[in-house]
Amino acid sequence: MPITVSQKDYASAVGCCADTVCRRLRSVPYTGGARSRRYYVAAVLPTLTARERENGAIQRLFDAATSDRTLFVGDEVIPVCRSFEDWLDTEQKERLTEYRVDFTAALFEATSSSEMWQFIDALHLKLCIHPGICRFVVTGDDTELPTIDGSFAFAFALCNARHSENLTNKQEAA
Amino acid sequence: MSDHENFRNLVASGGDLTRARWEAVSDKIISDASRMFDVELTREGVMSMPSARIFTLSDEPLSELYVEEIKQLEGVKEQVRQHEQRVALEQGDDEVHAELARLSPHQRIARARQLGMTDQPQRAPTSAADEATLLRRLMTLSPAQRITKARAWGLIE
Repeated sequence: MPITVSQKDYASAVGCCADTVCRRLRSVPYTGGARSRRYYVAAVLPTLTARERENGAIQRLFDAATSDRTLFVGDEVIPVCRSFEDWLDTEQKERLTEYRVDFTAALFEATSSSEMWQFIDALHLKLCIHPGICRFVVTGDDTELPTIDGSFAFAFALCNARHSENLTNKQEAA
Repeated sequence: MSDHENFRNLVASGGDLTRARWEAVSDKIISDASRMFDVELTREGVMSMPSARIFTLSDEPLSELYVEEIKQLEGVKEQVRQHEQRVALEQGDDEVHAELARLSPHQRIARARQLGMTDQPQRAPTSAADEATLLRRLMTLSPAQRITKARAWGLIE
């Protein structure tokens, strides 16, 4: 599971009332049941206003967020990752790109066949909602950043590769 | 002069018949030990068994006690005990299973490893084609199962 927050977490971290939270998160994808919605932190970050960001809401959101510390980042998360990436500023994008390059190199070291490379685009996207990586990309805080080595890259790829998200082939077909 | 050396001298000076009896009995005991208990004995080990010595140096037939003596040998005791437990487990002995069930899960798996009853992790694939085949197979599993299988197949440590 990726890193998520509840509506309550969001309200206290950002400092807005329940109505505002509902309005802002109405179209944000969530996991869990209708009564216990968990929103991807990567998906709620873009709903913050500039003033809230300046007041440290991002840090508080990350602190309130929970994750079950698995490598699997969830189903149907590609759109979340895409819009999250669009929201990042230049510095954040640089951090993400740097991490992706290291990931790719580590995956290359870890595998001898080309089998996993058909998923590389989806994996690159999904990296940004891994809890530690998401926090690092957004805040630069690397305390929970997973060390990139062959075994991490391979395990992450193995957990998160899905045939339905083989973006490379889709582009060819289109 | 050590006990073993003493016996060795007796065999050496005892003529062809004694040597033949010694070789026959040690071969028999070594092969029986490996068949019955799955343990590797050395001639050195057989030398310390009273029944083997008596058989070699006398005209008596081999005492049936030799099976018990194998079990009592240093370094064999533990192996024999594990072998017996493994056989009992495989045959579905209730008592042994109950004993195993009393252990906590991690003790249970540790015990199974000691008994050599877990599948050994396979060696990592050596060619890119092998790896690709395994990876394609892994991709048919759920994400949670993939890591477990990959580990079992030696793809990750």
